[in-house]
Amino acid sequence: MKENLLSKFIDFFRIESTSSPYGDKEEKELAFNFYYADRCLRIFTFFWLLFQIYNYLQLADRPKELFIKMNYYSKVFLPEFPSPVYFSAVLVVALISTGCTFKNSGSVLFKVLLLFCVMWFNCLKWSYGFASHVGHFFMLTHFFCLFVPARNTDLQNQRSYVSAIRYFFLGLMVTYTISGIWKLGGLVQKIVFSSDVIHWLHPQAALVNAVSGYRFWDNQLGGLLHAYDYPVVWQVLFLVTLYLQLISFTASIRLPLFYWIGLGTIIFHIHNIVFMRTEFYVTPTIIAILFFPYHLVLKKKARAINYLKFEVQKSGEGQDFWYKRSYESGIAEEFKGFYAYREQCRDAGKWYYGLLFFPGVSLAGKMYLLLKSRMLYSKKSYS
Amino acid sequence: MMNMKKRLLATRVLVVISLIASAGALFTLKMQWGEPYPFFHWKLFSQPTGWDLCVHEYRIYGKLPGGEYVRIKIEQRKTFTSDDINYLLSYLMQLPDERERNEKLKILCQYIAPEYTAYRVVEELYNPLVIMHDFDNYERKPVVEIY
Repeated sequence: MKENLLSKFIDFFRIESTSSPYGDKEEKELAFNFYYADRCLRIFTFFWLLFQIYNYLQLADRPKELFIKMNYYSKVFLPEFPSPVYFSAVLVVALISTGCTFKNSGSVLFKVLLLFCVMWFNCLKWSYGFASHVGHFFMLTHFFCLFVPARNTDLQNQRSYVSAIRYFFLGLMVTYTISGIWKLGGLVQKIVFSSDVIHWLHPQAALVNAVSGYRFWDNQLGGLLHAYDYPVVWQVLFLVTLYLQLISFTASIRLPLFYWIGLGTIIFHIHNIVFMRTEFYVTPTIIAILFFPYHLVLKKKARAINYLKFEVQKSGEGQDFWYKRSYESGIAEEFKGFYAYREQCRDAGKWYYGLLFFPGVSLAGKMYLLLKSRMLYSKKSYS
Repeated sequence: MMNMKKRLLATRVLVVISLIASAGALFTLKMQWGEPYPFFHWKLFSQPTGWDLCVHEYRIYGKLPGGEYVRIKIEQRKTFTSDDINYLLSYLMQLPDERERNEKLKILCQYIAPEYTAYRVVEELYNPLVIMHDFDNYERKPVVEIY
């Protein structure tokens, strides 16, 4: 039993692929989507760079004395407000690097240059007393993709390639998990040591947070005030957000969760923009680009990865439900109980099958099946 | 050209470096070296804003020719967004060197609101549950005079 638990625990964090043909198909899908995500990322980066010209012209109008070196990077590369020549030079390097990495995404040199320039533009914006959270995710994206090329055909090294893509997403999404841990820590600390203050599960938490957030910009909530009439909605939303953030790192570990975590994170950001007035537009755009299911749109091109032939056998019901997939290659997979239902749901192409892979759902499913079988048993024994 | 195995290893190393650097922020902040890798404290809203029901904010007041001070509302002013003004103001207010602080404050004030002759930074304290119904009900404490 102990060994079983331990191996399950390790499996949960296992990033390298399993040998199942189904996993293989999912990995091909990930690689396929990553190729287009990378293309879109570079196009987005191109326009983002053009926007930096506008940004520079804006900042150039400000008094030079307000330019403050905020971190180690700007101490070295941005000791004062950059001259138009310096700015143009960085911009040209950035544009060339974007072009080169679009053509040859295996070029580590140009990716490093691009990362350097993206950091430079962000630091420029952050040099006015405020290392804003805007732009961090964009930088991290360019950081973690340094060594990950975008290829749609490289079957020889598929294993290593897909693992690299998975690490890329792991590195990115761990930041959300860390921020979830901070939220959880803050909540526990407040509930345990000073339960009378307003922690996130307090009925007035969302209201107080919104009022203060709006007041920060000298605004009043006005009609939005009524959105907080039902605190329980916000408490549940908080718990959902916390859960989503904590498990964000599993996006590329459990591939069925991939699109759901992407979608959930986008919704989380949009919610913050509307209700907390966080000006946060680049990050949700990048997440939309990275997590978009391109294979659903580019159906013709994605046909190769969708091909999977197998036969299904099933028997029993409830806890004893048994489900077996036999592939053409002779490999077979068997599932029991909740897992069998989950796989059946997946093969039936139900849109919600990914939801069944969220950590904790299998536990609830198993409990439900157990209860159901107990009740059936007791009914039978009465009659 | 690197082969795929090396690229995988390199990406793994990046992830590990990122995790170590994130955790390292705890140490570097303690040693007052700042936060070279700024992703660990990405703790937006780890508490609800206003959780202690006593929020303090700085606002700039401008002096009219008659000697009266008026509150300068936080909004887009020239190239500064509301966010930019707010964060720069609170950054400047915590500068240890008083002379440097006042100099920079003056430059900021004159840039975003040149129509006034003198300025005053006021600390405003409010309770979110009070101002949600009575927006102008808050405490005002003048902290810095700028001439």
